[in-house]
Amino acid sequence: MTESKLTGPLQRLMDELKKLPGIGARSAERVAFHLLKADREEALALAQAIMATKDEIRPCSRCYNLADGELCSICADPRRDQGQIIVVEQPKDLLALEATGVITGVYHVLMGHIAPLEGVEPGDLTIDLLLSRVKSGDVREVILATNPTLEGDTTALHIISLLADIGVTVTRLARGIAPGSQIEYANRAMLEEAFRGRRSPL
Amino acid sequence: MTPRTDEALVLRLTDYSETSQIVTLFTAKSGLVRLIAKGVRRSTKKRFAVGLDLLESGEVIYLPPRGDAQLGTLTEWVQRETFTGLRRELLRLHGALYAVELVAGLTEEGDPHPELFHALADTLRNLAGDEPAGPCLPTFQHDLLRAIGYAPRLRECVVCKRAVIPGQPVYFSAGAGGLLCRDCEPHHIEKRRVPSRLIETTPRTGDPSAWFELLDYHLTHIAGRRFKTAEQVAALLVRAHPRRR
Ligand SMILES: [Zn+2]
Ligand SMILES: [Zn+2]
Repeated sequence: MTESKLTGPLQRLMDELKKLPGIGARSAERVAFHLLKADREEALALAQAIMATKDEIRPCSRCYNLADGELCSICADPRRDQGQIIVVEQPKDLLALEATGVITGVYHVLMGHIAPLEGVEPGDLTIDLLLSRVKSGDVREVILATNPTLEGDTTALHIISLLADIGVTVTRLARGIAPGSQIEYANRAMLEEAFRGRRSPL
Repeated sequence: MTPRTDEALVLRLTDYSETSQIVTLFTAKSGLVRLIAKGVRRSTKKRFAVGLDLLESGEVIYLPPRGDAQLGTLTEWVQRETFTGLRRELLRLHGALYAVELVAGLTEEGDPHPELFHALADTLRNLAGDEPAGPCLPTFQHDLLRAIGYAPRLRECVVCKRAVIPGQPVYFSAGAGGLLCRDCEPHHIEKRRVPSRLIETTPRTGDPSAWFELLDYHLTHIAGRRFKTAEQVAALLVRAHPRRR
């Protein structure tokens, strides 16, 4: 690995690249030299994409998903079922669920989870906005898709307690053994959940 | 360095990088231990089948910190109990987090407390079970105070050692370490009034909400700061066990 200092701008580029997740010194060097050799347009397209991301992406005013306008593409889509809200912790979870192609409802992104020991309280999340959506709209079902971790479950339990008085159906994602895994290696909690959540085969 | 094997409870998890976490464990043999768990978050390897979660117990194999290093290394974790029942009620959940916050805040790394380890595991088990959650909390607060050498005197005045007389006003001073009678109370600034009916009971059998507040007052004084989870637990306890005035 070269430790010699390169000229100003190239060194700066490499230093910035190294801050990115999964990029070490060697990869940073490769990318930096690639950009140096590339067409001006190609290199600047990257810079512009970064700038546009920072300038134009903002939270959807309805669901807090990433959006490049007032509403995100899902909230703005008239074919989506506005009566079913899937509640997730962060936009990345939304993307993962969306990639399944089975979801026809809309989302609500909490922007985190309740973590009492880390000082993250309900007021730090977008729970109030979720409540007003449920109260004001024609929402039939709220599906809690927070992570099955202690903090995700804490968040879900808190939301369940708030929705209890509103008279909306609240469901949670099923959990248990992952397809492709083996019962022999599943831990107790997974097996317990899988047993409790068993269902008819069809 | 030879690896150590121990029983442990997961008290805290903090993200360290994309794929690793810093894990704070309370172990049976070595007390608080802070370890780096590499590759734990997205791991599909058998080693960390689903990553670790807060408030679960398991068997740990780890390398203790070497030289000046602050962190040891987690090499294996086998989940044992998950106390799933905690996740069905806010009081059980926040109560368990409070117990964990006390242990993390009031014990030191490398300071073994086997009896406290078992008290914490029992508390999580009881909170996850079917018995009422309320009495578990003051019981654990009291167990912890005893384990760290700060058990308050609750039968007689700490200053003059006279037994508390039923029906007379009683005070509690955290600095003095227990109850103050009516004669000794004026010499202390830091104190709070205690319902005399309360001290005729014990933390295990008395009003859970009143005992919780009194012992939390004592614990807060010892720690020199408020516990993040205390306010929420106090509110949930009052709801679950309305005060008899
Ligand atoms: Zn939206
Ligand atoms: Zn006295």
